[in-house]
Amino acid sequence: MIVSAPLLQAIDVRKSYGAVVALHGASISAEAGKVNCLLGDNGAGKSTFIQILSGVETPDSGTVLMSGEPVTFRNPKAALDRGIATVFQDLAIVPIMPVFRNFFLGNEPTKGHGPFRRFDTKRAIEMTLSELDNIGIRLSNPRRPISTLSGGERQCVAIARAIHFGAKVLILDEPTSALGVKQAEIVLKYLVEVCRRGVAVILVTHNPQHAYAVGDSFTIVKQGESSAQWLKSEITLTELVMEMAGGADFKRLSSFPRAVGAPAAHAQA
Amino acid sequence: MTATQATGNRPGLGTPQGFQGRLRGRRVIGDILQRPETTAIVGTVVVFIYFAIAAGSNGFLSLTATQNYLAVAAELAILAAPVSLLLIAGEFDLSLGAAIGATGIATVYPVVAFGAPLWLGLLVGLAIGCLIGAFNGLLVAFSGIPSFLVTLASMFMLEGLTLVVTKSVTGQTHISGIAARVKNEFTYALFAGKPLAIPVSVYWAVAIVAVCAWLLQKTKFGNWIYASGGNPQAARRVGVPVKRVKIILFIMTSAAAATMALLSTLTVDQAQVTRGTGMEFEAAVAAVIGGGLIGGGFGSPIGAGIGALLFGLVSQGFYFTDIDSNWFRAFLGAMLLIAVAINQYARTVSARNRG
Repeated sequence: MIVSAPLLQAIDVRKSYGAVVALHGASISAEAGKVNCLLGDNGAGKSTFIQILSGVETPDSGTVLMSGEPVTFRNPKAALDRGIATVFQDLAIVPIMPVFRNFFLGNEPTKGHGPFRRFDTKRAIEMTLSELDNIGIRLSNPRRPISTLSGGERQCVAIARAIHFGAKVLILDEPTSALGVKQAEIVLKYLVEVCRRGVAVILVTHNPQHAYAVGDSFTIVKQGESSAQWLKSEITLTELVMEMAGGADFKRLSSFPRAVGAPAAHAQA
Repeated sequence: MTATQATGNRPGLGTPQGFQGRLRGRRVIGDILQRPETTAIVGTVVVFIYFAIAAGSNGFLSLTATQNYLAVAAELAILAAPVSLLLIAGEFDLSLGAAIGATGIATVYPVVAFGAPLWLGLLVGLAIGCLIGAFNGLLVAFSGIPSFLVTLASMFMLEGLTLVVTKSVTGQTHISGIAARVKNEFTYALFAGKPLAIPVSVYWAVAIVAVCAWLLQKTKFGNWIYASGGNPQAARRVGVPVKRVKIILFIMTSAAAATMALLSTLTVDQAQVTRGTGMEFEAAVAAVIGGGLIGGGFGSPIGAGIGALLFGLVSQGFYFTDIDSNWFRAFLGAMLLIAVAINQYARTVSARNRG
């Protein structure tokens, strides 16, 4: 077995905004071909963490490594050029635009020269159709606005687009949070599929059920600090939920007196 | 190994039956409704048939009448096509009418006052137009003030400035006697007359509409125009230079105003400070009837051109009927409302999330 450095690794990353400390010591490592889950409640620092990983923000201290080599990203483009693609919650799609125009937005294939250089719509449509066909979305008319796709399908299109343009590390910000059970399933299935192609996925979510269903490793961010990174064999879903909900705090909460008249159990710190 | 394994297999994701299971007929009608130009085409055909029946015997179908409404339509189409692009990018230009007055005067003043050749005058007019567009565009892009307010302010500034400067230099609010000086110039032939019995402005209109449509549909820039209006944040995130797109479109719009100003000036052989007053709205009406959404992200220069044709038909058609021609504006307002309602309905029905 060859041991190699993880594709993307962040060690003890810290970030403050003025007096507000958003992150004090967060670490994660994302292995190729694995779904690495980043869990945490709203406001725990997940967003800041992925913004650092995707080049939107720069950390105050700490290291980000790609295949063991330290890197700094000045902007999202720099991260993208290194193969780190982030699919944010708004998916960066234009709802009213046709699917194929969305797929190639900002990366339009062209043909012709000089003033007659033009958007090769024919090729764009063909590539879009085949890419979507690969993930089981069959479009009758690629000129239809992307808003006619379901939520899960749109999420899949955004992921397929990132993969098509060469993502090696894929950061997904709450891809299932706005979706129903069935739509979430479509996305999670596709996520596993993407992983099998050797992409390192960082799945950011506050839903431990979704994370545990597809995840290979789990990191919890709580009040700006990350937990250990457990492998799936090291933790059960119940334990994961407990850890997320606050571990010791949660135990204390569940030992509260249930029945009226029961002896008061004093909370011990 | 993992990569090859993945490409061969097609996971049955998605819900294909959700796409295939729809009624085919409804889809075809939906796709026709989905075309931005549909409303304008239907409206134009209906209006034309109406006037042909009601006023055909009064001369509506004569060559002169046809030339008249085509000339009106063409001048408006020259403005409406770039305005529709601007609208798709999510912006609006209220200073367009004022720009027509300013560039018209700027074009003919050097000709009349210094005996400059017409092409030089046109260059001056175009340069002034580009400056106005750049001013609007830069201010909208970098100040974050809505284009409605920026261009409303520049409309007033420009109107006042043109009036003051023109009056102080010429003592009047118009400049006439241009044709006599430039009749033999090549540039004059390009902007005046009726080759093959069709007003020259019609050729310009067709060319400008075609270029705008080509830009929108067939170029990278066109994709960026759609995205800049449809979802500017998303566009920026994938690397579309939204600000640059908008600035270029504002410049294009004002340059079109300069072109239209020259055509109109040579038609009546007089440049007027107030020539373009109100045309910013007429162009917007044509663009919206032609399928443009005020919120941006959707529209069509060809639709705008057809909208301009509808405008020309309605504005000239009433003169050939017994109906008071003042009904024209009321009729146009109603047309606008109907077109907007139909377009809005088509957008919501066919763009509905079917998940």
